[in-house]
Amino acid sequence: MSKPADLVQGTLDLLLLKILALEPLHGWAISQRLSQISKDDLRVSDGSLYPALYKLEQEGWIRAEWKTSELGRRAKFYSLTASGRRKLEAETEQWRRVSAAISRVIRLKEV
Amino acid sequence: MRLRRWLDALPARLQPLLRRSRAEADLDDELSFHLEMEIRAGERRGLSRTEAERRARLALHGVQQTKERARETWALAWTADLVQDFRYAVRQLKRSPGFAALAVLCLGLGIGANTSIFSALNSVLFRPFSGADPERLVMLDRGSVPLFSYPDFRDLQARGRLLSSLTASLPMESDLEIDGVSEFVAAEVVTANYGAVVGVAPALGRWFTSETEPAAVISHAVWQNKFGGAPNILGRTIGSEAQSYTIVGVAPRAFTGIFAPYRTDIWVPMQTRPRLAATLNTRSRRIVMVFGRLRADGTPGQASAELNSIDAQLVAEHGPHAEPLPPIVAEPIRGIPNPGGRRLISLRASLLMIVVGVVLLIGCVNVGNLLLVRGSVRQRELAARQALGATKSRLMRQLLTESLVLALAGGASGLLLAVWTTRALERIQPSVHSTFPIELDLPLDGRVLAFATILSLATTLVCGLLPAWRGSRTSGVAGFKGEVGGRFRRRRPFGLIAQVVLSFVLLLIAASVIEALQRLEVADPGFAVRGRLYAYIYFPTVPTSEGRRALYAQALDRLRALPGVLSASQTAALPLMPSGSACASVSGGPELRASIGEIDPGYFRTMGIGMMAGRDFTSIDEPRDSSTIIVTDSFAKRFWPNSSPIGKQVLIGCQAPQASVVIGVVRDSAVRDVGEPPSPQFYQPFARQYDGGLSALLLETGTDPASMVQAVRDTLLGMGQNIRVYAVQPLSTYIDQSLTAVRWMAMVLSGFGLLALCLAAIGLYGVIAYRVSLRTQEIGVRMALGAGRGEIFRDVVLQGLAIAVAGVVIGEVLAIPTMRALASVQAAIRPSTASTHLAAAVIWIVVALVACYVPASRAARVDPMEALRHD
Repeated sequence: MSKPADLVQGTLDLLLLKILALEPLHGWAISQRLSQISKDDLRVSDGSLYPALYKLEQEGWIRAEWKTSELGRRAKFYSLTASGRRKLEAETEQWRRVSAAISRVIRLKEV
Repeated sequence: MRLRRWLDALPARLQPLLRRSRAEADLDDELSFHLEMEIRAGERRGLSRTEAERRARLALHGVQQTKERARETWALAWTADLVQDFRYAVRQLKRSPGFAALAVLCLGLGIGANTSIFSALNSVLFRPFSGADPERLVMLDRGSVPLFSYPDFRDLQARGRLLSSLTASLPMESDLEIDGVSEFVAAEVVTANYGAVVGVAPALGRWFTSETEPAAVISHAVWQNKFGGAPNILGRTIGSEAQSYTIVGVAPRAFTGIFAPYRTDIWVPMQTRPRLAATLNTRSRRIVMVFGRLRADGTPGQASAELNSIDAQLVAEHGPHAEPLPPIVAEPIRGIPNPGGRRLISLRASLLMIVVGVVLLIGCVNVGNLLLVRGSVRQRELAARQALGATKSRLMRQLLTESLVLALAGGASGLLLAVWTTRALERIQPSVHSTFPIELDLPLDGRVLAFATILSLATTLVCGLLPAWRGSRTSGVAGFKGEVGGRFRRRRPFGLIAQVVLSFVLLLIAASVIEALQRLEVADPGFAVRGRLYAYIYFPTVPTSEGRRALYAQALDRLRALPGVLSASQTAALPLMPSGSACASVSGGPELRASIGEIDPGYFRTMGIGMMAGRDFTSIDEPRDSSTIIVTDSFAKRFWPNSSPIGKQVLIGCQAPQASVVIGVVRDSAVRDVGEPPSPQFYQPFARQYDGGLSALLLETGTDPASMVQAVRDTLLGMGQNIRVYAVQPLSTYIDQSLTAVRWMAMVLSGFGLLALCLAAIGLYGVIAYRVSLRTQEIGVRMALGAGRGEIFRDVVLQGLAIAVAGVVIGEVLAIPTMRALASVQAAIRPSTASTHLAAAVIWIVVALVACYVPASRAARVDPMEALRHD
């Protein structure tokens, strides 16, 4: 079994923004959601997740709020800011172009 | 868009900055919540609690490490952009080390000069007093003369409520005798509570415990210089004014006395001076400076009001003051406590501050010019960055960061320079009257550091803003085509002209102070200086004033008998020393203030002051009840412009005028400063009132007075009687010392003037040289079309010359109001002579020619073939 792919630099940001665009989540839930969605193909260690969240917060793309979690304990919930939403759109567009270009190139090679 | 993101990010950025503990607690909570959730999930999958916990921690790469990375993120968000800009700026500057070094040099010299002059201004005007709780220590100021009589001081002390304690200090010339060798020192005679009120803890020992205790505190300087810093100094015996004192304390190094910047050498309690104590209780003798401590609930304003109401009571009880006095103002001490010294130095320091400000401005214009030129060369690079997506504001920030790096490097080197120059300034301070040496402590404290930092930042804006704005407006296409010449050539060289103007005006200022100094050096003080010798002496152990006067007469006789002495006389105070003054009027007429000279018969002859009418004093004028005076020419002209003053009556005194009779008129001579306009003065016989304290003997010698110093000293010491002989010097040395301050100003100003000239010349050279290198191609074309090398050379030189001439002309116009302002600050300064103006103009034109010579000859050497092939 091959090792789960390391994330391309900068893609983690895109994934996190996308996940948070759906609903506000706390850190643990984000990590669960990541492995669920990607069916463990993309593995983000918890040790990289939090610094990435803090960076997005410092950049102003997500904001944090303390709310009561499903277990009745206080947890830090992250949600997208207005500029985060715009950032997500821009990044998604960029990703589409780049990945389309890459797959074109790869197809070309396989022919 | 950018702004929105910035606003979104602000709360997250501010929290770790403003509420660090809260941010840390949040981090703890969040991570422990995560661990808890992960452990539960593990347990659900069937792991043991310990195994689940181990895995959870492992997945987090360690809790502490994650926290550390979070903290890094907090810090980075603020600095990431800045660091990037800085790195880039440093890299850019490294690529042109010559430019960077020149810019840092210009800014460093400017910032260094400003910082060192500011540190002088700081210690004179702004620095809080070095003692404990300095904001509660107030000085009682009374206009220009902050002096009180001792009885008034006692009454203020007894009746005042808002000042918890008052202390009095009398700064005076005195002597310090160590192991039988006596020398002239500055003393403060103080009340016993002085140390407690001033709030200065001694470096060693203690202050005084009683008014009559024969104890002395010595200055740190005396301890070091006279006793070699001996640790067992306390308990040693010294002498002063024939009293013997036990050293009980050493003042800390930073405290040079309440009379600063004049240095105090020893402190003794007031009642241990019998001669002083005898007259201390005279209410009309205003001789002490008074300081007090505010109570916790009092303000300086309330204290002043209270003191003035007490003063009004005192006037009601004891009659009015001898002369009208301004109200008492209690004010916290900032900088130097002595208002006279403060005025003296702050005026000069402010003038110098302006001058060094101009020097820095020239440096800034230099760097700004270089940056502009560099900007036009870098157009291609900037256009490329713009094409790659950098916004105008990003480019501008980048360019400003470059000037910030330059300014910070300049600031750092300037600070280093300031450390060195303030040490030099501390050493070459002008001593004003040779008796009171000036000692300024110029530490680079927080205020000075803040000043240098702010100056560096301001410098960044001044020299970087315009070039950054221009650079960021590079239009893409033109930039790529490398059209550097077009825009640049159209720009008028305003910066260069401004530099020439500023440095030219500074040259004129320096020249006018040098002229003033030269004028003073040859000025006729109205008395003879050559072939004159003076000796300061004193008989401390003789109890009566009659006895002392007799000894002075004896000393004069012995000196007259010396071979080479033509005449000898005596005066209470040498000319130019602070002396008393009195009101004078003719009955019914307006009053005028005249200085008092106390002299011995024969003084005018010894000093070469011409008698214009009447006669000199003789022994018949000496009794106390005689009322004869001799007046100066200007005094006489004020009262009797058209008639002879001989035999006329003058009322002398401000409150209770006494009638005096004029018996002679003498020529005017300098009273306070050499070169001053004549000021009215009158003379009384030395013996009539004087109690025979410290006094100066004056000798007219037939040979070089310097060669007679030893003989005079030996003769005086040979009299015994515990005589103290302080200074024995040619009068010319003394007059020369009185010019120290002006000489110092002339030296410092010409230094700065020269610095400004160099900076402006460097600026001119730099820009002209750059222009030539940019126009290589054009020059090649012109040569190919037949222009001669001489023509090209002349063209470049004329360009530089035009700038210099324009600057000189504008400078001439600006110099007129500048000189007028300067003359109002320093009386001796007058508008410069035409030849000085001409010389300054010629200097600048020669400098411009030299600055243009190298680039011009490089232009003339351009090889047309080479130039046209270029690019």
